This record gives sequence, C-alpha cells and structure tokens, in this order.
Amino acid sequence: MFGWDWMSQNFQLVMSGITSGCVYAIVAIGFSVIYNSTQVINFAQGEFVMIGAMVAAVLLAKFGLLVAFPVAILAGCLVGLLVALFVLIPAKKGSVITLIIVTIGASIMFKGLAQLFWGESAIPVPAFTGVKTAWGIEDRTFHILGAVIGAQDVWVVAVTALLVLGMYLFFKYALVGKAMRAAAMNSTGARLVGINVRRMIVISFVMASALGAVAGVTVAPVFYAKCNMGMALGLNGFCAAVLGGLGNFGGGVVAGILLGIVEKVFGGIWSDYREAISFIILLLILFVRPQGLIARKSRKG
Amino acid sequence: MSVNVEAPSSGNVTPVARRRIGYQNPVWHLLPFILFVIGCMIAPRFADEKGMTMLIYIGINAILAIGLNLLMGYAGQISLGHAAFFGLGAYTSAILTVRPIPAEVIPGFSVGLGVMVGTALLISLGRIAGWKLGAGVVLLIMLSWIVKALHLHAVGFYGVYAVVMAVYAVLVKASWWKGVVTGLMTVLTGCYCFSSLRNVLAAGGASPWTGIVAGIVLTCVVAYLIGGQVLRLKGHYLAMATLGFGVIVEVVFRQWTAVTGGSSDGIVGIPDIQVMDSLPGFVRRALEFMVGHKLDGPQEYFYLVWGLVFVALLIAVNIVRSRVGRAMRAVHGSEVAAESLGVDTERYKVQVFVLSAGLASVAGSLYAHNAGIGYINPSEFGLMTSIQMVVMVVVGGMASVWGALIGAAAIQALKTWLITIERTDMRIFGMELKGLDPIVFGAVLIVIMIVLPQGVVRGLADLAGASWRTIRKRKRIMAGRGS
Repeated sequence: MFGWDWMSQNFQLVMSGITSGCVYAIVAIGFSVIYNSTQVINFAQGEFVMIGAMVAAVLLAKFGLLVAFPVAILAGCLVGLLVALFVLIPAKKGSVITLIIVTIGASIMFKGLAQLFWGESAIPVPAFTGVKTAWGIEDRTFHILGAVIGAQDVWVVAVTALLVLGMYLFFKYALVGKAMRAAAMNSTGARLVGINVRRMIVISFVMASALGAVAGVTVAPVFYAKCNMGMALGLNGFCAAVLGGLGNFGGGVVAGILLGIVEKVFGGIWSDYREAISFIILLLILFVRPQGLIARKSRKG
Repeated sequence: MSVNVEAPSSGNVTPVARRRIGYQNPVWHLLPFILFVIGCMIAPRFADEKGMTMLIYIGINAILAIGLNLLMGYAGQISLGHAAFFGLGAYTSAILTVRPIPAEVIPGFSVGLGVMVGTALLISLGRIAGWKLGAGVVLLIMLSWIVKALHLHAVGFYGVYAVVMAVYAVLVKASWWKGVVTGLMTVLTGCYCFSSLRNVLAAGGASPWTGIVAGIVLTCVVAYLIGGQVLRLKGHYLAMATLGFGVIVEVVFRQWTAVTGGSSDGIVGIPDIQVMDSLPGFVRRALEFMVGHKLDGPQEYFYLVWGLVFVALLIAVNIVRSRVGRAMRAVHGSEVAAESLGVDTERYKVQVFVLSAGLASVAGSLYAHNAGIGYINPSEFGLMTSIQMVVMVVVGGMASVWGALIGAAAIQALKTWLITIERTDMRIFGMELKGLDPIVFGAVLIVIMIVLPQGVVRGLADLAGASWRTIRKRKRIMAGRGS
C-alpha cells in the first residue's frame, strides 16, 4: 500500500499543493498589505486575482506575456484605486460592520460584472512557455520522482518568490513602504510627522490589487479563468493570512503554501468535501488560535 | 454574574430624556400591528396569482430579515452564513416529509445527533471551551466507536459513557455529575434516534408540521454549537468564520447525496402544508368568515406565512424592548463596557444568534413547502443567499424591526424586476443581460452603507427632516436680517 505508487501520488499532490499554495500566499500578502495600513480586511481581495486571470484569458493567447502582464497590473491598479476611492474612504468613518458590508458589496459587484462580460464558464488559458501541438498549446512537463510538474507550476513559484522578495524590500527600504508601516502603527502619529494617511490607504489598495492581478495572470493557465474563482481564493488567502498572523508577510507565505499542500493531500483522500477542507481548517484555527499559529506576538483577535 | 439591566422608570423624566431612552406611548406600539393585520386582510383581495406568489416570498424573506436584524442591527454581530440555517430548516423538513434517509446512514446519523447534543451539554453545563471542548467531543466520538466495536448491551454502554465522561469532567475541573449527565444524554439521544426515529427516518413522509419543528430543533442545536465558538470572535474574524461555516454547510448539502439528493437532483415533490385541514372546524369557519371566502392553495399559504411573520414581529418587538434587548444594545455599543457593567455578553450573543437561526429555519421550512413548487436545491442556500439577507437588513435599516419588512419587500421587488429584465433579451453593448443580481445587490450595499447607513426609510426621513430644518433656519435668518 505504501509503495512507490503511493509515494509518487502523494508527491504529485504535494507539488500541485505548492502551486495553489503560492496563490494563497500572494492573496494573504494582499490581505496583510491592506490590513497593515488600514486595519481593514478587504473581502474583495480574491476578486483582484480573478480580474488578473480574466485579463490573461483575453490577452495571453493573442499578444503574449509582455502585453498581458502590464495590462493586468494596470487593470489591477485601476480596480484597487476605484475600491479605495469610492468604497473604502467614504465608508472609513463607519463601524467594522460597515466596512465588511461595503467590501463584500464591491466583491460581489466585480464578480457579477465579470460574469456579465465573460460569461459563467471557465476559460482555458495557454501556458506561458507552452509547446504548440495539434491540440493547441500544451505545457512543457518535467518528471521528478514520479510526479509530473508543468513549467507553469515553476512559473507560479518563481513569480511568488519574486513578489515576496519585492514586498519585503519595499516595506523595509522604500520611503513609501516605511511611511505605510508608520501609518499602520499609529495613524495620528504618522499624520503629525507629515504622512498623508489617506494616500497611504490608496497606495496600499493599489498595491494589493496589483499583486492580486499578477497572481491571477500567473495561475490562470493552471486554474483557468472563472468569474467565481475569487471568493474561494479570497477565503483561502484569508485562512493563510490568519494562520501566519495577520500583517505578517513571512508567516502568510509559509502558511499559504502549507495550506495548499494540506488541502490537496486531504482532498485526495476525501474528494467529495474537497472545497470544505480549507474552511474547516479556517474555523478550527479561529476557534483555537485566532492570533495565528506562526505569529510570535499575540495580537488582539 | 449577570445583573438586571433595568429600564429607567418613566415617571420623573423630562420629555427629551424620554425620547432618548425610547419611551413611547403604548398606542404607538399597537398601531403598526393593527395596520399590519389590516394590510394582511386586504392585500390578497387585490393580488393576482403572481402577486400572491410574490407576497408569500416577501413574507418568507421578512422572517429571515427580522431574525438577522436582531443579530446584526441590535446585537451588532455580523453573520454571513445565515443561509446555512435557512437551508438546514428547508432540508430537515423536506427530508422528513419526502426523502427517506437510507438505512445505512441512520446509525451514523444517530451517533452524530447524540454527539451534537452531548457537545451542547458540555458547553452549557460545563462551560467548557477551546481545547477542553475539543477533547470532550473527540472523547464522545471515540466512545461511540468503542461501544460499537464491543457490541455492548444497553446497560453496558450507559455505564461506559457515564464513567468515562465523569472521569473526563473531573480531569478538566468540572463537577463529575456534569460529565455523567452529558454522557447519558448523548447515549439517550443516539439510542432514541436509532430505535424510535429509525422507522420515521427510513420511511419518510412525516407531516410538514413535524418537519418544521424538527428543523427548528436541529437548527437551534447547530446554532448553539457553532455560535458559542464563533461569537467569541469579533469584527472581521467573525464575518469570515460565519462565511466559512455557511460554505461548509452548502458543500455538505451538495455532496451528501445519500441524504440531500445533491445538486443535480435536489429534493422534488415536497408536499404543501394543509393549514386549513389541520385547524379545528370552528377556527377554520371563523377564519373563512373573516376573509369572506373559502381559503385554498396560495391564499391559505399566504395566511400561514404572514401569520408567522406576525409572530416573528411580536417576538422581535418584545425582545428589543426587554432586558435582553437592552443588554444586546449595550453589547453593540461597547462590549467591554457592557461586560464591566455585569452583562453576560457571551450568553446574550449566543441567545440572539440561536433565536435568529431558529427564525431562519422556520423561513427555510416555509420555503421548502411553498405551495405549488415543492423543490429545493443546494444552490439556493449558498453565499449569495446569505448576502441577500444582509442586503435586506441593510436596506430596511439596521436596528429597525419594521424596517426588515420594507427591506424584504424592496429586495423581492428588485429581484422580480431583474428577472423581467433578463427575460426581455435586452442587450447593452451587445452583452446579454444575465446574472444581474450580484451587480445590483453589490451596488445597493455600497451606496446604502455610505449614503444612508440607517436604511432607506429612516435615512430618507432624516434627510427630509434635516433639510426642512435648514430651510426654516435660513428663513428665520433672512427674516431677522430683513427687519
């Protein structure tokens, strides 16, 4: 039972888990970026990924990577700007419930608009570095330890690593990044030293949505582009963010990849309830350790 | 621990203070109810068949909105998973009336119910939470397996449960008898479900009334179990946790095909509720005399639904103005402050959560037994439904019992209008207008929360009042300058 086949099967699951885990990690970082500067959980985070995936579905086959990536980033920035200016800032004075309801409203609105424009069915997207065959563009594959790994999976991991590194450097060294951290720690204090807190909110939304859009373009060839992919991705990303401690980038990334692997491995055993697994994990974490598993400092739940 | 939250006596209070504490002449409380009853008597005479269906749906939505409004508007706790309770009610009564539960599922079903009751007892009797509760639940499940493996007789497994749970209770520093009660109740519930209810569950075809009551009981137990854990979270965490719970329940509805029929089949042929036949003769004749004609079909169902709306309104209005209601508003204002004044915030939050889940379950049963349709499908109890309930509460105005009626009516009207638009094959920029609900509801949520956070009715009234006052002020200033 626990022979070579079993090993390679599980290895396969782990590898595909890492791919989806990377997406969760990016979404978790998006949550953390916004949470760090506004103390708001943006329920529309998953929709940013969906928008990136849709852009890829439209552009990737015709124009290639060099057009699709900038356009996706632009579209993501635009959407983030819209959400920040017309949804979040007007509602900022309200209670937490107001903010939750407003971002949920934005989320279902984007989902509905995507459904209107691109329909309900999943749109297949060609891989970045595919090979042309008789059936269209197929992904290159590698065989490692009996598992089949597509080139696109490598792309996803590489892009995630780049983004994580970029975010880390940005918040550590860039002036704007430092200002954003300051605004998050103490918004009155930040205002006193001349930081425009409202601008920081806008920037954080634009960044989070651009991050989401890049993730969307990268995973579209693996997951396909679907108008209702956002909610599940958003929830899984939130789960990862909570696991790693909200606002903690490194924790979010580790937790996201772990979550992806756990989900895939358990999904292999318990395939009917695959979609529920990450939510069960989320509930258990929230019940037992709302401050996150990896976080060292205890945060208020 | 809890302290009475008394209303200030209304004897020696100035009018301003009276208004502030919400004191009103009792007549103002009765008047809406009287208008409501008159409206219910008149409405069916002017409604055609389509109108009746819509009125029934509005009633069902109103029950949902009233329940959720108690939780969101008054206690200030958001729930994005209320469709799960709606669905639990619908599925319980649909399964009991139509779809027999397969024999091989029944043992697991009984054990599950038993463990759920045991867990509820652990929470309420032992006041256990966190890892202790988790350990207790695992222990109960393991005990069921052990008992099954040992083929014990009745006395044997009562004993095993009682002793093991007593030891467990002592270990987690509760009194031993609480463990014994928990263990015994778990076994009793499991055995009762297995032996007495087996025939009912396996045969199906129970009366709809049984279905409704069973739905309420099951939903309340589930809500108690989940609420006790979830409501300790705050703000965003609470929203995400309830959302996750809703999704889990929907996945179960979709995937547990042996019991729920899954998403392709759903449950078909759910019987109507024969309201008139189950009433005693003189009540039926009195009702028919009041309405003026014989009641059947949608008419009959209309009165059942709106009768239950009336009951829900009565409950809501009374709770809001009671000690519980004041405690709830205190929790909404500031949980820390309420706690420091001695309000048992945990208990009140769970109570109102269970109540609103129960109301959602009633609405679900009514939805399942809806005259002439009798079909349910997991997709009707998904995230979108939960969000629609939130939209109803937001449109009607948070913390406004009567606003919930308006919210329900407005959303139903909007939905009907959107369906007619989708049917006309109208095209904008060559796009088929399909699936407009999320766009419109999302926009409504955003706009109302930003522009009229108190809901449409009170918000517009406030706006009108404010502009009237400004006009008068301006006039007075102009007059002063003139003289």
